[in-house]
Amino acid sequence: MDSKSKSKVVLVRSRSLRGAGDGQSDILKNMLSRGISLMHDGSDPNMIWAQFAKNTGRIGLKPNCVAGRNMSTSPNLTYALCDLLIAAEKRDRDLIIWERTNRELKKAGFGLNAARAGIRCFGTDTRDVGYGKEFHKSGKVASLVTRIVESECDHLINMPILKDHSLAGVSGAMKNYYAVIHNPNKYHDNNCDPYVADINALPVVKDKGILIVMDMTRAQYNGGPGYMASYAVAPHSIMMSVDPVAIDAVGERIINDYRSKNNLPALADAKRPPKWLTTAEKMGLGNASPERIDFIEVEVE
Amino acid sequence: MKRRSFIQRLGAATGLICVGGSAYEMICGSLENAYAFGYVETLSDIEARHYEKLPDDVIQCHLCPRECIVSDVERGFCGARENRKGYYKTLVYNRICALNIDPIEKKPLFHFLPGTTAFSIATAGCNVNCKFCQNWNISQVRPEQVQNLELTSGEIAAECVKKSIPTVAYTYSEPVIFYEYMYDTVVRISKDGIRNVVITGGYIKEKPLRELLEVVDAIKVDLKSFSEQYYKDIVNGELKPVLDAIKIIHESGKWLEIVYLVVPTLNDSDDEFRALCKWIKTELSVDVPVHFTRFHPTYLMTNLPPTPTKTLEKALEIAHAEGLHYPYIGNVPGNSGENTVCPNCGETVIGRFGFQITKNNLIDGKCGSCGRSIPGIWK
Repeated sequence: MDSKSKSKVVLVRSRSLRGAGDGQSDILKNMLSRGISLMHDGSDPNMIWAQFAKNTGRIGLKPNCVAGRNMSTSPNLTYALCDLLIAAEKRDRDLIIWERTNRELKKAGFGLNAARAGIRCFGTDTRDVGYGKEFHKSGKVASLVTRIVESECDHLINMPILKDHSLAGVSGAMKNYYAVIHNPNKYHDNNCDPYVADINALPVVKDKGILIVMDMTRAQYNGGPGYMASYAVAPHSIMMSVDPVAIDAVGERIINDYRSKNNLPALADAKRPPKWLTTAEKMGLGNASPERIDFIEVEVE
Repeated sequence: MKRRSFIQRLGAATGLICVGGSAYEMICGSLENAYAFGYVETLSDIEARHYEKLPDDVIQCHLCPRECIVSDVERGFCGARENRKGYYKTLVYNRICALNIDPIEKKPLFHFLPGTTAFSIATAGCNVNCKFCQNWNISQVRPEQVQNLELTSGEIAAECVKKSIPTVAYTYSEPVIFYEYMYDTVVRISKDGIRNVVITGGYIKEKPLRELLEVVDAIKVDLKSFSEQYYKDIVNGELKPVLDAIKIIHESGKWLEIVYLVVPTLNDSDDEFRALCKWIKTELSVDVPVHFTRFHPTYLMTNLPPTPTKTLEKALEIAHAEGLHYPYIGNVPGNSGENTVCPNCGETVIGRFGFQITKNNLIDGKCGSCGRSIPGIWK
């Protein structure tokens, strides 16, 4: 990520979307294609998906499944993206939907498939997967890395869901990659700063990332990372970028807008400022400053 | 490995003296193979103790000085406790990931039933993150990442009785993080006359510590340095709460020994040795044993050499000069600093080679040569 140039963040909204998009695959695909097109200055989305399919190896898609079915990345959205890539001649077996555990994937509504055929979907706790042998170090982080990221996948598509996090402030793209390491519980002090940035600076993470699709079919502005119905909202949106810092900076702003509308203090005043965004920007992982983010917001059918 | 074969392997291990090697390697294999073996078992779902409920299903743990504030679906720093809808749950109750029959000298406890064995158990997780941890592959992982076996306190008691093992040691990782399991097991097996020793970093809040002291027999504390900065940089903890805990243990009258792992260039200055010894003399007693043990490069600290023996001997010399009666050298088999020497007549009361007792001239808790009382738990 060249943090000196502006970063593009695209938000696509569809008022037709209901909940997590059950039975609305076509709407989700339309949103994804419009988003990828806007990220590439209006180019033909089919051509872009085709380039994606051609220029990548095995792709790991990482939803966030920590909070169960109600506040995890929508399987509908995840499979809609897979469908677009497969339609662009990506082999289905080269798409791997993954999480820390199979239990989390199942609770979020994903169907497991650790076989060699079809779109694969499994957790690090799957037999013969686990973590690599070597420690990966970045700043204050020293961890083993899931073999899914270390050796199974050539590229990563980050598919977080936007929600509040009681310590990090925002759980979005960058926090989602805590699932990469074996010891995430060690890295929550000081509002997760600098740990969120350090984890995303691990070469095995940073160098493999090709796209972020943030699920905003639903979102949560308080009480996260677990699901709390009273703080859940349905923005009917997805957000896309290649800059994890920029997309999370926009995510922070969206969460704070919801908090303000609901008479809650801003994240910074609630003692959980996502200060790791500034750290990440300083480390060159992307742009957090609004003047360095080109935010595009559109509505589709 | 199924439950029966695990126990059978334990039986086989009884005849072994486990010199060197981490607990995890002895029983469980290695982390990268943990899943491959299919060992992942269901974790426990027992409500933890010493925590406070906060609004919005958030909890605050009061077990250790870290006092983690944990939201629903999240875990504390230790990785062994999880907030489930506002209830803090221990995931490792009855879930053992390491088990050995060790010589008590391996703990090390030198003034506690010398020459006997201890049924030594651990669960996954730890409330600090020492860069030199020799058991990192059980302490620095989450419980579902290792092979766990369900073992109840009753089954532990039965094994100890069957094999005439006088002591259970809660050790290897950090027993504070499996506090509920440890506490309940201590209470249960004490009924069968079995002793309990806790091998800990001493990073624990006063209330749970005092409750524990009501029931255990001895505690060995790893005092990792005498510097706050070292605790911050190397241990990811704090010194002061550990010193406070050590004082509480000593004041309780329960048997206490201290280990100080000497890491080259980081905590091995004469001044730090001297400050430590003065503190023990002033705040505790000259009769509290302190073990200066040798560091071996491992985990995240592979860039330093093992501690030179002369450094350990220097620490011993300083301890003697400060008036401590029972300083020892550890992890240097055959060094004379392993022996218990009578502070009155200078004769060796208990001779050791590694974890083996080579001489025992202790008679009814007294030096066999001059009759001076030697503090400890001897029978």
